Amino acid sequence: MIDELQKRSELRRKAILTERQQQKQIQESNKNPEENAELFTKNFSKQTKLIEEAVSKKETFLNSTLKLKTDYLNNIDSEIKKLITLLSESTLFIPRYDQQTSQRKIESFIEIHQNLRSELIPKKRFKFKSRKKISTNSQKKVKQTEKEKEITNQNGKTNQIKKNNSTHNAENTENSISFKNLANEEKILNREQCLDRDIFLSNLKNCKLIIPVLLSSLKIDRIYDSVICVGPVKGSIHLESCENCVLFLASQQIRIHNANNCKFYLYASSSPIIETSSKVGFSPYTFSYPNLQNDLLKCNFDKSSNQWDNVKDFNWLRSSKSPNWYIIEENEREQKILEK
Amino acid sequence: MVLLTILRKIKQKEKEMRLLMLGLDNAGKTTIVKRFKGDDINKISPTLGFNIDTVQYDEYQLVFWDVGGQQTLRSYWRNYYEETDGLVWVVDSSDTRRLKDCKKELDKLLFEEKLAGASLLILANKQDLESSLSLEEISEILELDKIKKRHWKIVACSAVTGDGLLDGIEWVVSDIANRIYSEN
Repeated sequence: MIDELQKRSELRRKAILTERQQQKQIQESNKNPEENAELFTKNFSKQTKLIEEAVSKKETFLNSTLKLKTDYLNNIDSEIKKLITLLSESTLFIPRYDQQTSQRKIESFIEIHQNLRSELIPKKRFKFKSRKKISTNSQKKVKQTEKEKEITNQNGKTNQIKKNNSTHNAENTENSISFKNLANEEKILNREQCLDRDIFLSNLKNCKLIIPVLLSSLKIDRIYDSVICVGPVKGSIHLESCENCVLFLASQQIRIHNANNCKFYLYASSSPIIETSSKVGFSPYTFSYPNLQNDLLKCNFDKSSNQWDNVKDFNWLRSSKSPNWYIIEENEREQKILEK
Repeated sequence: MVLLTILRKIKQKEKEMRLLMLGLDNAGKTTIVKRFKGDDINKISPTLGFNIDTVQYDEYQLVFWDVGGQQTLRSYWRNYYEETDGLVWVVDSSDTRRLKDCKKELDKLLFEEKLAGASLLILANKQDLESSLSLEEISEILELDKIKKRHWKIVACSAVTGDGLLDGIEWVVSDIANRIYSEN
């Protein structure tokens, strides 16, 4: 009897043991091979070496063409970005100490890259138009708006005109005002034309657009090397893909996607967000025009509760500060004042 | 099966409905919920993560799961599918450029098994903006007439003015109630 029982218990124990082993094996095979701290350190150091090597080659680029220089800088930049994604994907399983040291390393690289850029491609200072120039501009502009008015008047034919005349790209449909596919243009829009309208900006290169009036909503997509100044926006601002731009924006909600090397002068009544962006600078809103105070009041914007520096980075979901954005130094901040 | 009946009974007692708010970023999901609750809608920050808000509506307790719509958050949406009674898909009617994206994301959701039983309410939001497309245009672009296997409805609304919100919620609540609470 007792023998029988012992045998049974023995059998059971064995069965349990094998089962446990099996479970262990399953667990191990389920473990993501990429979630490995050692692998992270290896990849990270490989990537850092790559960047360091690239940085050490800077002498050869000192006297080369602008294109080569920018290619070289962009290359380093993308390597740094890879490093950042590597770190952010790995934070869940690497020790805190490693996290901090890696982050410091990344920050130092970003600084090196910035210095390198200013060394290789000295910045052109952004200049403001004197008052004189603005007035000549506005004369030009009057002609332009007349032209645009013509188009609005013949609303039905808008599309036809657009097709026939590809150079005229300020499309003014009855419901919204959009500026598409412009290059090297400067525009100051007038109040009446834009007051409380929805504005779309798309594919602008090297443009300067000033919209000194209260708007209903603003959507921006693909702008490069441009300067955009707008008055307060009652609704939200949605921005996607911009590079080397300076923007003056005021709104209750500001979303910034795929921005690279841009500067934002913001009034924001809730925290602005960035996503897949890098090297974006932030500063308080410094654009002003004669009717600004009134327009701000209409939107209930209170300058004292500006959230411009409370930036949330969706690619950096942790307590330490995101390396993708910075605060523009006070002595480097620009001002934009339209007097007329 | 037993668990399911117990769960159902608990639910019946509390008359709770779980509504999942989804849509692209900048569609106005949080604004709609806050508006419905009667909170201030002028200082809403883009949602990082999710919010849960409860509202008493008639005899029902509506639990809104409002999940952020930014690109980086969309992969987390699936964590919220479980036990959803109603799916509220919010569309920014003025965002003509991204309506294709909007359709793509919605189509993905319609394939989700865990959401198969949920009533689908589509809110064509931001009708207060002059550049907004109409209800008909949006239904056409989203190809809603192709949805045959579930109860759905599209309602034009504006979170800012509040127009249309009640119509939408009323429909989704009654549709869920017919399904869950009228069985006994």
